[in-house]
Amino acid sequence: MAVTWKQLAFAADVALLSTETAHDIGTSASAGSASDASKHDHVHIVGTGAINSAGMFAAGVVDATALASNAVTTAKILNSNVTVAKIAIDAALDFGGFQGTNFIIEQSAAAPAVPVVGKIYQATGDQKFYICTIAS
Amino acid sequence: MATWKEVAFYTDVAVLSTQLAHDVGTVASAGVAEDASKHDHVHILGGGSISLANKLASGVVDAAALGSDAVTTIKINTGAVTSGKIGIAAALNFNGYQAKNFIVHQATIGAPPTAVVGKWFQDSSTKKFYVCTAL
Repeated sequence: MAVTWKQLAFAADVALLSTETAHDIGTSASAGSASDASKHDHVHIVGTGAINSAGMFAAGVVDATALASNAVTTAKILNSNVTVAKIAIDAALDFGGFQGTNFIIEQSAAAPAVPVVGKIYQATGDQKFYICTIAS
Repeated sequence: MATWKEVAFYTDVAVLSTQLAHDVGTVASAGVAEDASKHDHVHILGGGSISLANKLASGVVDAAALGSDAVTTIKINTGAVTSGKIGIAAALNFNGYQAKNFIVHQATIGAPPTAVVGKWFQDSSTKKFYVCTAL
């Protein structure tokens, strides 16, 4: 057997394992200054404000589930970005007393296929204006 | 009673590292270093480290988290803006486009809507059409 010498560690040279809670994930990396070591199965939590730049998110990870209800308020929508295709009128739309400016009456060569009392259109042939008064 | 304690061989124990902690990534790893982290080390989130939608709990992205003007057209699902979501707070410019399948406000001459010049309604009983011309 070959002669073997192994160095023994002095207590001051080695780290003891810490029993303290791991520090939160922050925004500034640090080597730390403690004299004890983390256990390998320690768990960090994300600290308040730790997610502080959009670059931390991969594309598309903020999906519909992640968004809180009513999170998209008026201020969050870029002007003119709610385009016609995004709007689905599924109930009477209340104009709240405001004008519909540059409003054009529906243009149609014939009466609409689905009559509803109150529906209006302008005939493209004679330019006359029609309103439905009886639907059935 | 006599007590015997094992003394660690130097090569079997870790020394404390002075290197920056690695960024939080997308793949967990035991690491290959031979030194240990100090207990007060701090990790930061690496670029793209939040790489799956299911990393975010339901509802965590609330109004405060969303930046102003963050919701652009491409972010809004087609048909997602339903009537209840629309709050007309100023004149709505139709930009010369038609309002198709538009139904005139239904009311009665006995209980008309709040009068505004230009406002119109159809009497739901007589079917007559009224427009406000003066207040």
